[in-house]
Amino acid sequence: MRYRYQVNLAGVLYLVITLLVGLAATIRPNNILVWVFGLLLALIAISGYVSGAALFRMSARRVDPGHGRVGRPLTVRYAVRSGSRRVPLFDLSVSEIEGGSSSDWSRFSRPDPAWVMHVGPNEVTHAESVLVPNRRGRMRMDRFAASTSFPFGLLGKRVIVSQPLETLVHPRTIPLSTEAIDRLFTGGGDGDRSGRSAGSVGEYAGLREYRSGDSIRSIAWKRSHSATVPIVIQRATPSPRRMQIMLDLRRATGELRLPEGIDGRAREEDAITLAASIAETVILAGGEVGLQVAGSDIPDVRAQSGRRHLDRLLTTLAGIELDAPRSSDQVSIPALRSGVLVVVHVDRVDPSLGHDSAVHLMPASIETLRMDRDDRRGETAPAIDETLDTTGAVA
Amino acid sequence: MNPLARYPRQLRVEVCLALAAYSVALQTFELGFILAVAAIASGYMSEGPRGRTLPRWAATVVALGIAGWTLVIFLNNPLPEETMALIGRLACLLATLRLFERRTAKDDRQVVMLCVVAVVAAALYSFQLLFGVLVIAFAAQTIRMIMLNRLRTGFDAARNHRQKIVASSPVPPLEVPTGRAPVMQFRVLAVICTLAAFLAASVVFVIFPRTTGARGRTLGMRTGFAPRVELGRADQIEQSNREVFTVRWSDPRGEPIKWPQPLLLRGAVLDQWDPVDREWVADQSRRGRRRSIRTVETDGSIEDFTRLGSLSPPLTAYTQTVTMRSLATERVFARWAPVSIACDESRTFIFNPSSFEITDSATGRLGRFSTYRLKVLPSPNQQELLDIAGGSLPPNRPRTRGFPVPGVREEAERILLERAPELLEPADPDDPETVWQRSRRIADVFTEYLRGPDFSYTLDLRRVTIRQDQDPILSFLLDQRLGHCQYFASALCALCQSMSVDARVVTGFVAVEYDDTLDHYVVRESNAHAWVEVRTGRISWREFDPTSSDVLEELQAGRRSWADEFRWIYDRFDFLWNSRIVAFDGDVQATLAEEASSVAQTRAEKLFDWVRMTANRVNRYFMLGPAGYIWLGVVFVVIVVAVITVFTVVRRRRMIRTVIGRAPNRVLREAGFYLDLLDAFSRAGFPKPSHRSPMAHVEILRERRPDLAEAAAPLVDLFYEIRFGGRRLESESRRRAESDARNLLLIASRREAEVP
Repeated sequence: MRYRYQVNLAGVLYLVITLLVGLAATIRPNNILVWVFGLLLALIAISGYVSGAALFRMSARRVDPGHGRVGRPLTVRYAVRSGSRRVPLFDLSVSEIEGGSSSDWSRFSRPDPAWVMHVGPNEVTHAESVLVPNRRGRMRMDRFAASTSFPFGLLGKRVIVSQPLETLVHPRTIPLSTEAIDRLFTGGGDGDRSGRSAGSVGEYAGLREYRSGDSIRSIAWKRSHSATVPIVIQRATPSPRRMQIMLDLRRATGELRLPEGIDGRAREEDAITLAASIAETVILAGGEVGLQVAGSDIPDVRAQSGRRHLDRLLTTLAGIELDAPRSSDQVSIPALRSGVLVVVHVDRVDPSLGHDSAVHLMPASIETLRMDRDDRRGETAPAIDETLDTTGAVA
Repeated sequence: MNPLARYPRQLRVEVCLALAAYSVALQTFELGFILAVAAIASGYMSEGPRGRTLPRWAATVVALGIAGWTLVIFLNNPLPEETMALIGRLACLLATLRLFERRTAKDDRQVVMLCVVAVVAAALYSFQLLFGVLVIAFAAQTIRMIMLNRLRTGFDAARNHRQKIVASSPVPPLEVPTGRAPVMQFRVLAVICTLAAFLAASVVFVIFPRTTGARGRTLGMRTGFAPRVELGRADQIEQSNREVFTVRWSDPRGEPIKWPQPLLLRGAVLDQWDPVDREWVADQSRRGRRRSIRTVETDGSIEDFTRLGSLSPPLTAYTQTVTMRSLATERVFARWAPVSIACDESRTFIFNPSSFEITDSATGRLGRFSTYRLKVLPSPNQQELLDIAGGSLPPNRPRTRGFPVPGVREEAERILLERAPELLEPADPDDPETVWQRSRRIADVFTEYLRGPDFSYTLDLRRVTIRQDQDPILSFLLDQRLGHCQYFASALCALCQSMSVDARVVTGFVAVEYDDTLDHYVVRESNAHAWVEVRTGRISWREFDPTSSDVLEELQAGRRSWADEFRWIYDRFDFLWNSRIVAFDGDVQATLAEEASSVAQTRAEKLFDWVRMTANRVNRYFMLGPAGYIWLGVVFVVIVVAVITVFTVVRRRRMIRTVIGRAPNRVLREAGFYLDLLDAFSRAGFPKPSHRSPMAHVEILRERRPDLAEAAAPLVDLFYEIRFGGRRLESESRRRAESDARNLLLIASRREAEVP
């Protein structure tokens, strides 16, 4: 911790007034003025003592905020402990210090300083700061400062705490139209597979011989009577829709074949946003989504469902380092029966990436897939047939 | 409920206190009342459920109008002494106006600042007890208000920041802690800050460099005794009903009686006009007067009278008993002519036989409810006066050669020509009786003239303009003809002296209020008076009061009210306020310092004596002889060292407990090296945060300071074993651990410069 003092404008004005009153008390021996002058002097000393006694015994730490998402408020909490046994702490402001050695604050909006009105003696209070990340990726916070000018605002006191912390910012996600997403599943993706769970729950699928581990309640007793071995009823639950998203990042940013004036890095980010948005929409609709990043050494993510898996997917997308070298090695295409394959390209559609029924999307497709206001009110989404051909390329 | 819940109300209280203080100081109760009502009403008009605030532009226009109006008033009557009063009034008006605006915390700070300006400006004009109480209350409220304003500023800033955040999903609102704990802790802190500030302010008040003999002279005027007559100030004299002392007047048989005329009690005698300083002073140039000054000592008994001159109190002497109530002065107030004095304290009085002035030798100490008695001859004969005065007789003719201001004699001659032209003829110097008779007649004529309808009595001289190039007495006689008793007395004395009649101005009190129940006169500050004594014999002087007694009695009667019955309560505090606060000057400061030094010295001497006696007694008890003192010294040193050691150990153990939390005493004793470990981290520039474990900190440290981490790691392991593993350290291990910790401190210090 490092301690700093800073003189406020109010403090300078106060000093000037004090000197003037002192001058008046000296020139004109008015005892009430002398007392007022003494009071003004005393307040300076008391201000320094009270704030010092409380602030310089304070300890603070930043609580790991987990992860944020581009465009959404990220609440960073600071646990502030007043070390003084008697003096409470008032009017404490905690703010991140920009320009640290490892932090990159261009990724974020200007942080809102956390403010806490009161921390009792030997108590811990949490202060909340809200910041809005502007870019996806790793967010590094280095130092933060706790400052106060309580009780009289004459002198600002500041404690700088060094606590490096790294957190991930997930890519921006945009709500997509569910009907448009349904269109992506035209080529299959559900109904031809059974679930992995066995038991008496689900639809009737057929009969088979008893195997070790089958529940005794699944035995079809009447059919078993005529057979020599026990027969059990095979049941199956309908499989959720499954989608495999492949993000095509094989080409480095500088090698992208884009028209003049278009920022390649922005297009790549848009592609990541599209992938994240599709994944979020599908998973929230109950589907399973897998992720494969072509051109990167990021391991593939198996298709699963659930919010935790969504977090995993977004974390994977957030961890993509676009400055890292790309590889154009042969990409393994997922099997057709594993679900619909959606390939998100950055610059141009490459039909060789994926089988025939794969859907190919470009970052611009997000405008088509996007849920507009009417759609949000439950109206019909615009058809996307016109914009997608069989290979999914944008018309 | 949170500390800011009543913030707007606290601000209104602040403004109301400032308005009250200003109104009391400047006696502008109408303005104060109207503004205070407006300030209170602002709570409903602008902050109530259907409140509407004044638009900023309208407030600005009104503020500019008020400022312009104030400027016009100042330019119409550009008196420097009124400037701060105008500024204070402007501040009051603006502060009240601001309450009707929509305000931020910054605007509230401006309101507080305006209130402070108003009170500081008012402090230049008043020293009353009530004003002092209001100043103290205002100071306490200001401290609380500033603290609240800091909270409000922080809250507003945080809320504004939060509101400016643009995000795709809702931003959580700012939360303010509620409950009793924040409110109570804030109040306690505010009270402690206030008390500490008051205490420190009082210390500064006592040690602040002072002007000797200031006694609040530069403050606003109010009625009261002063041993001088200073003319030329055109201001209003405030009426003060404070009880100064009581006088019991007893006849020779000891029966209290009420005097048929107002009782004139002489305090100071002034016989020379200083036209430069425009004041009457005692003529110090007459050496004979100084030589004849006598000192008289009383023995502390109120019944034992000490003679002032050679005359023993005759049986016909009256007794005057004065009991001081609130005046701290060195003057003894006596009726003409005092013969002997007694006091309830042992004191030394100085008696001036030429003017019959009696003063206490200890400056400003005669007061504080002390009592003195005088034997007085209201109508002494020549021999009795000679016995009192003693010494050589003055010449049997007037000594005055005239008055030093041109124009006064012409006016005196005009008056005499108009009323008694025969007195313009000089008397035969060889016939003293004719001379003294002429003096008496001249004084009578002038007194009648000044009591005539052409002259008016007033205490408000603000309408009177005294030119700097004109003498105030001449101006009073020729132009204004308006003034208070000092002007009347000065004019009579000047007229008499201009006609070569010996005359002098006397200041003191006139007792007119007689309490029939207690059989004594009650003398108040408003009874302070000035009159004239004219020499009407070789050694006799006669009183002439140009101020009409009807006017005095009328003024006294007009000020009586039922509240005067309870006034003594206020007077007690008022006395303390005036004697301890207002009259605190360089003299009192020096006296206080001497007393403090004396007390400290006495205490130190007593302590030293006690130590010496105790050592003697112990030495005698053990029969150690002269070497015993050496042994006692050794024991004393051992005790001191033991106390310091115990103190250090306890303090260190408390620090360990603070760091590692509650633990058995054994752990606290054995894990002492952990403090050195933490100190080494801090010294190296890598203090361990409280949320991080020691082991994790050492791991982080390995990247930046591997040497320090390498040396610290075994100690951290040892600490874990003691703290959590239940390991017990032998004394050898403990010493080794402490030694390692000290070495760690050296490593941290040595490599500090190399750390990037």
